[in-house]
Amino acid sequence: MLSLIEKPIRTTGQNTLAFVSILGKAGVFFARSVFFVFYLPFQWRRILEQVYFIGAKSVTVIVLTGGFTGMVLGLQGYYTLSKFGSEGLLGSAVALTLIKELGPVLTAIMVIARAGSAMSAEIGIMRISEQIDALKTMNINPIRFLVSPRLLAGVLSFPLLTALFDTVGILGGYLTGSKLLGINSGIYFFRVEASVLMSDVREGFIKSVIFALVVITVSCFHGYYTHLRKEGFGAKGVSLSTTTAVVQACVIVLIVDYVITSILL
Amino acid sequence: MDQPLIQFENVHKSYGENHVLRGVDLSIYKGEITTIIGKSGEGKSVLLKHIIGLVKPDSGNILFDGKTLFSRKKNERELLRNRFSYMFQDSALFDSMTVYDNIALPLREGTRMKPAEIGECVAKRLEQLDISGIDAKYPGQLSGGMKKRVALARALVTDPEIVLFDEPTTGLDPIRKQAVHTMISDYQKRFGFTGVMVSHEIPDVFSISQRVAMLNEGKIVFQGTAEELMASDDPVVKGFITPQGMDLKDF
Repeated sequence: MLSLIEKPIRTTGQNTLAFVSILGKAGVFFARSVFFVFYLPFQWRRILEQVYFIGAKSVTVIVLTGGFTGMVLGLQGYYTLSKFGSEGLLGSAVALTLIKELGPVLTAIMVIARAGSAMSAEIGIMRISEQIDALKTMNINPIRFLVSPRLLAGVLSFPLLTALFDTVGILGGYLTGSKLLGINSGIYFFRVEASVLMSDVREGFIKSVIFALVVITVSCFHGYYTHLRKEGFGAKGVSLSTTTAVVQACVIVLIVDYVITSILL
Repeated sequence: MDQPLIQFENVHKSYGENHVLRGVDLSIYKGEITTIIGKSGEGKSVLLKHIIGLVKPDSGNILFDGKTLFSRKKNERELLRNRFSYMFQDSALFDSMTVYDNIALPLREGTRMKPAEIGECVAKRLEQLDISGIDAKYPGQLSGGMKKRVALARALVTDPEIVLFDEPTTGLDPIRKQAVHTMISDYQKRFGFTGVMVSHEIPDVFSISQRVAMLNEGKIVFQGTAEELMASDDPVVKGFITPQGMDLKDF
């Protein structure tokens, strides 16, 4: 009888302790990654390599998803607004939805899928094949060498990718709303210009920078500590780390999005 | 006898239930090559990783120049680590970098050498190890033996004072094996580095080792010269080297 009560309490306690411990470890990992961004000399070459990997190589997927998201918004928005005779407001609806919400969130999720998973797997493989230990023996700080350039590159790339997503999305909305469904193109773009304020753009960029910090930290953290996983070692450990990184980063991005929106509104 | 450069005092290390090191006492002297032998899975690599600080002991002391390694300040430990180099058992080459970048990395990150000087150093090491012309290849494109030689080139490129070799010749053919042994020995004589080597190459490795230590069941059961090892009456030592079909006369 006692064990029936004791077991769930003990399990809850153990899980809570493990959660707090991981949270603390991730906090220290993030703080160290940020610190080493400013540690001289700057790692220009590695930062540029990561900007290319996270940013430039994500352009195609961002253009595709941004375009189709805008087109869907144009279609859905038109049919919803036409019920109230307000089709003319389509430009405002598409632009504000993209700039304030969907742009930063979907960009982050696309980068998680393309670059976050790759980062987690690459660092995880480096861990299990002792490459991270090799860095330590050369007196090269692995967090400075592997994580900090990615973090800075993420902070530089995410807002640019978000801006690209927003722009292509607005054009996508124009294609369906104006070219397909017949809204006057002048009205569409007038509404975009009239309704979007600088504060809306700023909100989108603030979100994208915070998402960059979340995505890069979570992806690198799971790869870096692959060897501490209890559920699997070696290749299985790396695959579990990558899956966990992708799922956690997506969930955290959505939670953080809600928190930021509720603060900034 | 001189004071040991590195000294293990009753070092214990466990991984969960597995008690790997069970009170290791070992002395490593400056300017000598000390080879650690023992059965596979005895914890020789773990012992080596303690020296460079990749693994911390659960209890016991590791002294460097008579001072405890882990009581030193962090920056002092980092300065100390600059004097070391480590060659990993599985090479641990950076698989997303070319051979050239792998060997050049410790020089780029740890020195203020110009790219041209780094290029010269890398080319020299590649030539010495008979692997010139592979500098643009990636580790995944190399054979196991070539990877070993690239790892050796990376370990020696900074001219370190203390080099830790974890099975440097495993997987090499007899000619390359001999070449690597000769190179380690020549370098040691020329630069006077202190070497600690984990090896199964018995008796080949004895010809380049001034001192041999044997790890058995988590403890050092023998340390001395190769001749003393051969003459040892210890049944554990004899049992380990006898299957090799060795005799002191052969050595």
